Amino acid sequence: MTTFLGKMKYALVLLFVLLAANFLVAQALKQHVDNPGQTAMDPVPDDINHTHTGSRTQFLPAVPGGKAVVTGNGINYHGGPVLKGNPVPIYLIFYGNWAGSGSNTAATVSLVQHFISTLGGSAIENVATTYGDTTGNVSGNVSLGGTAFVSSSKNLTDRSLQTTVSNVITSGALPRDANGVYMVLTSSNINETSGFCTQYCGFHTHATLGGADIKYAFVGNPDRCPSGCEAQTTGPNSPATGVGGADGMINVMSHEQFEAITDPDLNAWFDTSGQEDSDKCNFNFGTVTTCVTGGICTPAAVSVGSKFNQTFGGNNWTLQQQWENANGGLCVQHL
Amino acid sequence: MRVPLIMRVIPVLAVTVLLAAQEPWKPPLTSRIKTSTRQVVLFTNLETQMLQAVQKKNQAALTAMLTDDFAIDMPNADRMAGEDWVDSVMSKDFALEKFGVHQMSVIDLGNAAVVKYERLQ
Repeated sequence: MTTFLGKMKYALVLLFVLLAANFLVAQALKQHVDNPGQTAMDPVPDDINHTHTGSRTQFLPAVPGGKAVVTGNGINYHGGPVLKGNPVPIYLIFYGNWAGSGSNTAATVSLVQHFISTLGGSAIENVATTYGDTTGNVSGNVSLGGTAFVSSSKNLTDRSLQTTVSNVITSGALPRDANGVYMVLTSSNINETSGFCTQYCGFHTHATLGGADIKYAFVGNPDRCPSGCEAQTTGPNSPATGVGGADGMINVMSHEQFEAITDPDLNAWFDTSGQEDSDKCNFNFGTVTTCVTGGICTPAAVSVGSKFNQTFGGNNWTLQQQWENANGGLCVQHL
Repeated sequence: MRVPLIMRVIPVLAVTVLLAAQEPWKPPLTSRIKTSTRQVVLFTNLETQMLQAVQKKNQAALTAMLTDDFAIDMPNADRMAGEDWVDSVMSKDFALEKFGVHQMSVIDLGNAAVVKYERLQ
């Protein structure tokens, strides 16, 4: 009898030790799980193209000193951080089929990369310098940190969107950078089922991925729903009439990156109704100019009289205004 | 010899707890800040204007926003013609103190649109 009890105790202790060891290993796995629903043992997807394409970093002079938190301009500060990098890296993740037709082409990819590469220091981006946190102001400078491609025909959900960002980082296609903004750009055959085209044209948020606070945004190709997400069906850079996706996408990207920089963790700058700076000027373009022959708009844009309101990087752009956190607050195209 | 009950229960409990620890952890999704579509912006503004007219008992402003064939359909009730609805919300017995328009989605059908939203009051 005593022998049996002794053996039982020994067996139970051994079982406990084995299971406890397994438990501790599981906790370590949890902390390395970047992808909801997956484990750290999942293989890296084969369809992620390890492409590092970054523009040469341009460092602009630091914004002149001044009060970092200025209030009373129709938008309120809630204590959280802003992104103050000089520049703030923008990482692009092209998801879907970007070797297709219409606006789902390499030309759009190049135009988007060019836009991000030349946006830093532009008049419209300088409006962001009116925002800051307790340690400093937004620099108004951004750069193209890198590009990755995820070939897929699957629609996205909020969960799989986050997984996509996480996978691209985990695979090494893009670096893990808590000071940057990752933008998932989908081709027009891809839907984001939480409400792209019915509720929103894009959104930004953040998540802890691999222990880092990663800021990311979704922007879909608005050729999927031109009446909802495009100011005009032929933009100043359209290759053909009715192919306004690139310019439309760039406008929404301008909106999202501005907000991801001034309200990255959703606890910095927004007004009493919850609107962030770009929200307050959504689809508000201000004074616009018509594309004419002899300018730098495309022939297609000239043929239909497309409008633009910004010029930089050798291109015309149609970008919504941004809320200036000064002079009482208003939508502006420049400071 | 009989093994005491507690000696039989403890290992079962231990195994249960430790097996539960193996479940993959899914971090919660954080809120999103959405960039509304042009139609959502348009219809949010229209609904807000209409409800403000109701709130302020401004019958002229309210009727100016409604078409001749405007009607209200509610669950378990007969269809209410626009004129009757306007009379009911303009009456002294009805007061709209606060309201909010949230979670709007708009499906553009070309000549018509299906608008869904949550109205809190």
